[in-house]
Formats: sequence, C-alpha cells, structure tokens
Amino acid sequence: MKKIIGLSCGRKNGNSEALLKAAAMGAAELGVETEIIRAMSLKVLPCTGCHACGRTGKCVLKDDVDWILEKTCMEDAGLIISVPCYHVRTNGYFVCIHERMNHMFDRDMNILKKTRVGGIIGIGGGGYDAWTSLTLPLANIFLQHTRVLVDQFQANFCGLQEWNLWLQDEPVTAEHIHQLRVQDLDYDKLFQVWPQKYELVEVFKKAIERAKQLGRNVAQAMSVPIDQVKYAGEDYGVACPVCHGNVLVVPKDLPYVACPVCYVRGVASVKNGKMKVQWNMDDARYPRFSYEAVKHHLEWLGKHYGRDYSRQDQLKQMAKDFEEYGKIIKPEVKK
Amino acid sequence: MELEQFKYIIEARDKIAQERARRGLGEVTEAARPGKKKIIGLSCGKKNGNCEFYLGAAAMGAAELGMETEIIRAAELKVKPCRGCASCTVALSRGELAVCSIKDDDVSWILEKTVVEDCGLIVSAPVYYIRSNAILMAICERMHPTMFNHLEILKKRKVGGIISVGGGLDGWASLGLTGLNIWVQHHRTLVDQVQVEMRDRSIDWLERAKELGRNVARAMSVPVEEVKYVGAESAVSCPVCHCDVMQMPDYIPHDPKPKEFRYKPGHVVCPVCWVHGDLSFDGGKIKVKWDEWDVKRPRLSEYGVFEHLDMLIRFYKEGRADTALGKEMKKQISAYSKIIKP
Repeated sequence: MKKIIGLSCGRKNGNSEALLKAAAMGAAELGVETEIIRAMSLKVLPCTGCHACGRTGKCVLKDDVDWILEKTCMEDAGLIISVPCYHVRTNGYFVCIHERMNHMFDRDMNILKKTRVGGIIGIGGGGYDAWTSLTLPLANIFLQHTRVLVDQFQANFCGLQEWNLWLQDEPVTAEHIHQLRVQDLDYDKLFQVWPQKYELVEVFKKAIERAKQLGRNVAQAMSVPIDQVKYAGEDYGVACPVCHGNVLVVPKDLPYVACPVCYVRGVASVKNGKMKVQWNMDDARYPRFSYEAVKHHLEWLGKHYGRDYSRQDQLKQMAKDFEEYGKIIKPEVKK
Repeated sequence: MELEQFKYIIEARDKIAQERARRGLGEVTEAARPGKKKIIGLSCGKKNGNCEFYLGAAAMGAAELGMETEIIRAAELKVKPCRGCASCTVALSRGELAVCSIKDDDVSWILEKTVVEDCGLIVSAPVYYIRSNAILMAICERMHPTMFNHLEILKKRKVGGIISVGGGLDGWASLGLTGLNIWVQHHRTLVDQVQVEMRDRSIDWLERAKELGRNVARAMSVPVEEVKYVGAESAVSCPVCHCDVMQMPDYIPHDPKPKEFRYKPGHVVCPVCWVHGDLSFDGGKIKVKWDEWDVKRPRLSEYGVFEHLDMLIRFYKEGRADTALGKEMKKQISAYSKIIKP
C-alpha cells in the first residue's frame, strides 16, 4: 500500500497544517493517501541527554515521541514535514522530536540506506528580509537521515518574489533584482509597494498551489525506483547537491566551503561578482547522513566517548574542583 | 532617531512601560551597572555532564576576578516548547503586558534570571544533531513574553559568553554556535564564544573555558561600548556573531537602506545576523567585505527586532494576517485529511 505520512509541527489548523493538507490533496490526485500527525496535540518532551538509549535501545521519557518516530522513520511510506519557523529556525516541537531519534538506528540501521522519499514545507517569516534563514537546513537534518529529498520550499509570508523562489513566474536574474533595488524607498513607502505583485491572500493561494505540487512530486517519486528519483524543487545558485540548501560553512578559509547539513565539501570561486561552488561529488555520494557515514560516526563515538583517557584522573580531579564554583539555583517551589 | 519610523512598536513599547509603572513592576533598567559581581550560568546539558563541566571551568575563571556565578541546570527543570498560540504577540500589538500561556513549567523563571537580571551570562549547550539541543531552543523560542515586557534588553547593555559542546570528526557541530547565537544575540553583547570539539577532548579546552570566564568577567568591568570580542574568528566570520557560517541568497531582498549602502549582485549574508557582505576576488583569494551599515543594525538588535515587530503589529492592526478569504480557503482545506493519533 502506498502512503505518505505527514508530520505537522505547527498549530492545530494553523498555516503549516493547511499547507500539509494541500500537499495531501496533491498526492491524492495520484492515488496516494496521506496520514497526518499533529505534533502539537501530542505530548512531546525534549531529550535530557541521559544516554540510556545507547545502552538499552529504548527512550526513558514517557510521551508520544516514540510513536511519532515509529510512524515517520520506520514505516514504509513517504514523508512530508511541515514545520513553522520560530526564531530564524525550525520550531521546538520539531527539534524535540528530531533529537529523540537515536534509538531508531539501534532498531534498524537500514533506514539510513534511504529507500524512501520525502519533502519539506517550511513556513513563516515576514518583513522584507525573511527571518527564515535556517528553517530548511534544520528540517533537512532530520529528513536526510531516512529519506531522499524530492522537494522542499519555504513559504515566506512577506509577499516578495525574491524571497519566495517558488512564487516567481519567471526566474529572477541579478539584473531584475538590481532594477528593484535601485529605487530608493522610505520605510513607510516600502509597505505601499510591499505586495509587489501579490496581496497576502494571493501569496497564500500560490503557496497552497505550490504545496499541492510538492505533494504531487513526492507521490510521483514514490512510483519510480529510488535511484531515478530527481530533486524537483527550486535550486539556489550555490545549492548543496544533497540537501539543496544555500547555507555554507567555512571551517578554515575561503575558497574551501562545506554544507553544514550534509558536509559535502566544495571549492568556491567568484566570477563576475557571483559565487559558484564546485562540489566534491564523492562527498555527495556519501554525505553525512548516509548509511556509511553515520555508521562511521557511531563507531567513532563508541571509540572515543566515555572511554579511558590517559588523563582521566586529572580530569576527574578538576571536575571536583569546579563543584565549589557556581551555586546551583532553582525556582522556589510554589505551594 | 531612526527608531521613530517604527511607530507601531514605539507606541506599544510606551504603553507597556506605562503599564509596568502603574503596576509597580519596577522601572526600566537598560544598563548593566558597572561593578556588578554576578554571572548567571545556564547549562542546557545533563546534570554533571560535559556542559556543566566546562561551565564550571568558566565559573572558576570568573571567580579569579572576584565574580560570583549562579548556575541554572535547565535539564533538571521543566522546559516545554512554544505552542505558537501567539497570545504574547497579540498582547504586544494591543500594548498590553504579555503573559505566556504555558504556566506549568520553569521557562519564565529561567528567562527572568538569564535575560532580565542585571548580570553577565554564560550559556553552555550540547550539540545534538549538528545544532544546539532542544532545551536551549525551547528556552529561546519562549522568550517572547519576557522580551516584549522588557524591550530595553534589546539595547544589549549586558555581556555574555557562549560554550557549545559536542561534535565528532568532520564538523558534526557545524551549527552549534549559530543556534546559541540566535538566542544570546537578542540580549547580550558577545564577548567570547567557543565550540568545544569532542574530537580532541583534552585539558586545553578546560583552559579555554576558564579563559572565557575571565574574558566575560573582564568585560563586565568596562562600559559596554568599549567591550571587544576576544574569541576565535573564522576567515569569513560576520562581525556581529563571529560564526563561520554564511548564506548565499543568490538574489537580494528589497531593502530600505540608503542608496550608498545597496549591494552589488553576488553577495553573502550571515544567517543569524542578516549582515550582508560583498564578495571580492583579490590576488587568488576570495574575501568577504561586510557591510558597515548592517553591522551596526543586525537582525538581532534593537533596530532589527523593532523593525520585525513593527511589521507584525502592522499585520495584526491592518488585518492582513488573516483575511476573510484566507480563512475561507483554510476552512475548505481543513475539511480534507486524516489525522492519526497513537
């Protein structure tokens, strides 16, 4: 049976749920049914870092996250995540669910072989400069563990075409943007021209159309063999070949860059004032969230974490020394 | 004054200040008083874990300069993520005091201690899955009611330091400092930050954490205008948050800046601070020239946040966020779906 699991991390009947349902509508056109999980209606607690899952393969916290992970990570189905943006990145409910996934690998490492597909809907932002920079990268960290990314988009309710790549009727060129920018505008006037071409309702309508398209894309990808699945979303000029994000980390110095999510490395070059990145395709075949790389990381952690170090005693003694510094404070218990 | 153009938020701020005065909730204190001898340490890792270990080292360093440190163990307290009810934003748009609708946890207390109290701050958070953990993120996204009631914190008159602990081989902690900066940059001038890489766990990192404590303590004794960032810099680090991450929008937002500050095509931005930079290719080396106008008014500053909040209030006041048509559309879609539960 073909099925898509939709994980909505926003409010009940909020924007992110609406867009997820629109995606479900799109998938239904191709005969794929969608089951939606409302994370905010369930009990979700953050990871306390107790490491018990490393020993027992079970989480000690008693809430609904295990069930959510069971559905999203283990079940043989497509996955569409719809996540709102709070404070420039994905919201807390999503992050709490995400970081509790450790013991899923204990149960079946094969989920990392990525034989299923997924899509991401990011929503939020506003103002003329977006405020949503890290939503898609952070959502990708979760999705890339178990799914091949088919499509993603960030619905930015600022109504500006430059910030909603999916909203554009034609590709925006540097010249086009330059034309927009040479007008000098006051802050107040900015809001008069702010909708540019579309009113907010129009933006919402278009976002729903785009979400439906995402649903169709994911459903479409489910019917082809996994090695023929192609990314169907919009691409940035420097997009990482795996997660198609546009955030770069520069560990040492330019021109050597890497994608912070996939750790695909690349070499940057500037031509005509525009940056291009030559990505390392070997890395792209085995990115950070591939079976091989995660296995290596877990083995590495097993080797280096908590084992005896030559200076362990010294470290322990120092830890004792610290105890007298810093008074632990707690809120007063209300009676 | 350039803040005056954000008239909605200025109006709300003044109303809230009046309300606070009326209820006798204390006057607006925007400045860290020199001579304060207290640092609050927020540890988001587990009890007696590495986070607390390095935070303890920083406290030790600060104690050498006569500072007293109080540590909050967030993992032992009750921390719940934001439910997005937007009651705080609605209260702000009406110029009322905001109250968080989640009342059965300790986040409000943590925020009162870390964000509002007149003291230095050192935050340490572990890295789970490349970015800082959910406890830190939940505290961060719950800060709205506290921030709205104390908008003066955005002047960043207090100082802070950041310790991020985690990692593996190749950059498994790439976004650790980034996530922490999103919270700390709202209310602190950053003095020092360190990403403790577990791949080479050694006593050197402890020394580094101690030095961080000393740096924060030193910065507390000078006026905030003279505080300088003393931590590590990466080759492209943005002058505000000093992280080694940059974003390439590939297209340029429509911005209201004066003409001479507009950028040429082919620029980068810092995803945390939204400071823009121009790329230049000079003698076989790529360089980023960060924009001075932006450096003074990054996203997480009084100017940037006021601009954002002004836009939000404008939405609420002008009813642009939810029009009748939009609601009708949502209704039609909501009828369709199968919601599953355990």
